[in-house]
Amino acid sequence: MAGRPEPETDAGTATGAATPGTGHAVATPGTGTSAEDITVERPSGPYRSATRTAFTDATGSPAGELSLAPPLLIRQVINEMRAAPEQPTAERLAALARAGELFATATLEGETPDAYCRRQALVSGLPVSVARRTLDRVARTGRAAADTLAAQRPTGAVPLDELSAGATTAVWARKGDVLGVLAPGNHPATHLEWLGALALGHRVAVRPSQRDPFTPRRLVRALREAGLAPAYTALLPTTHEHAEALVEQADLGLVYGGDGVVARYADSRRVLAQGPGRSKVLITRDVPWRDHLDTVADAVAADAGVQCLNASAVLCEDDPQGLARALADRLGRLPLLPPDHPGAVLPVRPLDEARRLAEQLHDTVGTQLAAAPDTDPAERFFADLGDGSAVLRPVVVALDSPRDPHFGAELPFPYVAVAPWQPDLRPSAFGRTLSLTVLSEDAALVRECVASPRIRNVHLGDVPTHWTRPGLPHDGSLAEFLMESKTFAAEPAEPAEFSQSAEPGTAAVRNPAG
Amino acid sequence: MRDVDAVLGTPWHELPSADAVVAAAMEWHFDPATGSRFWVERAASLPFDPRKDITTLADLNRFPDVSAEWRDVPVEDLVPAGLRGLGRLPAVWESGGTTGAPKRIVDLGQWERNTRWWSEVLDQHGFPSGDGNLLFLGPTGPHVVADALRGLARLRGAVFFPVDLDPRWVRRCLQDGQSDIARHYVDHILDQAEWVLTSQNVSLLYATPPLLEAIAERPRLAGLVRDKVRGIMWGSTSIDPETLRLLSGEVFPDAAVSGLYGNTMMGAAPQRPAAPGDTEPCVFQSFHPYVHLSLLDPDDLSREVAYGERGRVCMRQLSPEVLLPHVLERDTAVRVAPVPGFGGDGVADVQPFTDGGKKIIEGVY
Repeated sequence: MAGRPEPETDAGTATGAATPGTGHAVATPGTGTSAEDITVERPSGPYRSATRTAFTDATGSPAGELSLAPPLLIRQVINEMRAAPEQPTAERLAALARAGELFATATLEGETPDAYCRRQALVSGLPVSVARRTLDRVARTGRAAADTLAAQRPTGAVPLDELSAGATTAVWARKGDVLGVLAPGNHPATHLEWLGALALGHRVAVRPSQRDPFTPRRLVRALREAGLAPAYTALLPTTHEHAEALVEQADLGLVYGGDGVVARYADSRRVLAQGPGRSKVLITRDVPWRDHLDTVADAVAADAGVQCLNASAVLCEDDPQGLARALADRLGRLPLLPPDHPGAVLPVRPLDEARRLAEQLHDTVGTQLAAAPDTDPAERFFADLGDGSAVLRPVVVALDSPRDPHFGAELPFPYVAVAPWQPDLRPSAFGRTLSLTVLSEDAALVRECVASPRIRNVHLGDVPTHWTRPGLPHDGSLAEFLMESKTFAAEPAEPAEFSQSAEPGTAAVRNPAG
Repeated sequence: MRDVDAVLGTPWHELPSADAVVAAAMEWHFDPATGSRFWVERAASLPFDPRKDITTLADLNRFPDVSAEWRDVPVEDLVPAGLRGLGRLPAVWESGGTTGAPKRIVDLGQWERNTRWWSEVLDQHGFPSGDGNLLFLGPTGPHVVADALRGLARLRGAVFFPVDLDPRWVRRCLQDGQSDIARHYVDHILDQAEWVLTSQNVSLLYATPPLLEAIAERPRLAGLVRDKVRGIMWGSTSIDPETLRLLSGEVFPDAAVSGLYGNTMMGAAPQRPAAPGDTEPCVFQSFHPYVHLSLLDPDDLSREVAYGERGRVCMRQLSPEVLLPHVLERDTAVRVAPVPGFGGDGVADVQPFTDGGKKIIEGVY
């Protein structure tokens, strides 16, 4: 079995000790975060819209005001982005590297890294440690931007900047200039994706989620401070109703959503939809699951279990019921803390939302829970923090078969379905899987998993599903969507027998390469 | 003998009090000699005597909202007896049909009076007069707005260039999820607008906010409007404050931009000029005291909201030809205190009313 790759992983804390020494005081929720505006960011700078809406924190209390961009403003801003002059690649890459450092360490428009982490945690309800690790992930992604760019380019194609007039070659070119991003709010690191588009030379207009306007705002500030031309980024908060205008006005779109959104854009060549990850762990009989419980629990619950890369299903050949119970026991001991507590590891949502979620869970998988029997039924799915919010508890369900309709559900907290694996099942039976951790000695099975078009990433051994490193594809490389190879064929420097025919349309018909 | 013009038709420069208008309207509309068949017959089923018991604006809340019945009442029943035999037939206007079959209203001059006053308000906004023509992008057919704008053009010495639009068809497209067809239709309208603007001396433009936004998206058309038009009137659908600011501040910065709130039943409530202390960028005033707007607490419709608060729009019309004592509109708005020169409360930031039910589709009109 392959050894675990070098410790680039930045999660792995959910099942062990929380990140020690996060260095900020535990404050009472609701204090310290002053209500503040999130403005539109235009190329000309921050812009306070005349149409605004309040947004709330995880307790449901008002947290600030969001400037809203109606379709006309979206159009104006995208036109401004398009009209601005190009910035050379080297300058952009330098700005990206520096922006990563600034995001992680600098005070930007008065916002310290600590203040950012705290705001992000209180509004999103995610443990503050998630934002804290995101600081470092942004720094590493910025540093790696140049290498990532080079690694993603087809080896047979030259970048447009390096094209010489006399060449005949494949060129790697952008499919459009402006990328519109409808950002999700589940995890701040989702914003790492569009940094790659800036490296490629796209201008990026982001619609932030109301649950996390702080991460893209800090990114835009860091990028501009680092010297990226301001027209390369825009922040365009808008209503759900008008979000579509951003994708329509931009040349290309990157949208996040559920199965409906994915289906809607399935045939689009212009819009890439990223949906539920349905990441999984597969453990065959030749590997004892007890030796890998840490990896499985980590895959399920790292970063509060909110990523598409977190495992939402486990297939286990030997004693799946036992694994489900052990997993429920392990996850059931995670601390129940408010989001700004340095030891927090689980997501926090407004109480009414937690109640609705609990009702749904009770109605759907209430009889299939693998939880310890002494759990108080009223508190089975959440813990009331008494401030209007509740911690969502991990849920492990034990299913008789991966064909159970509840297999493959993905929820915004540590939720996993454990089902038996049988050797006659094939990876094609998985359904779409973003990330699969295989714990198996069966080399043929592993190979089959890697070959399957329905499985996007395969991790072998104790590499949890959510492991990532800048430069490696996440759901393919974004560049595969944003760029294309095209032919540039120039007339040879010494045209020996160029036709002088006056007939239009015939003059250029020749083979420039030969 | 009552002289209807003595109270209900007084010039707006010498306005009677609102309560005096209420009393006169009750006398006029509920006297079998002058009232319409609809109201005179309806009086029998009311639990009060309008001519005795209704003396103030607040008293009008005792009436039910009858406007929905005007979807199928024969229009003859709506004409006050006192206005028959004057040698004039009423014009009949239909509502947009946003919320079902259209309501009908009879008009024997109320809209014309309303438009004369609106034209004076436009003077206060600095709109051109006697200097250039008017391009109208909106519905003709059974809808009143084209007729009002034709009158306005005449008052301002402008040739009237209408481009027709069928708002019911647009809404139907949107309801059926055929936004592509609606968009195609908008292009069709804007092509016609471009022909007029290219060749004609146009200084005034009336369009709906969605059409103005669509104009902004067509560089050549937007350029023609920027070059020629000095007064833009928008109305018929709501607009969010930021879009309005962009249209007047960035897209058409050299034109006077002024809104019109209203509908077939309410008449025209034009935007008034800014007044000292205004916090709302765009305040509308109804044709006081013949049309009165109250903003009611959506949770307790017997209560008016305070100044600065948002409420559901309740409209009352007390004209010689129309009595509508209590109509709940499909809108909410912010209540604004009266200012000198205008009677009655102002209303601002009008938005469609939603009660969590079916979304009202405004369309492009």
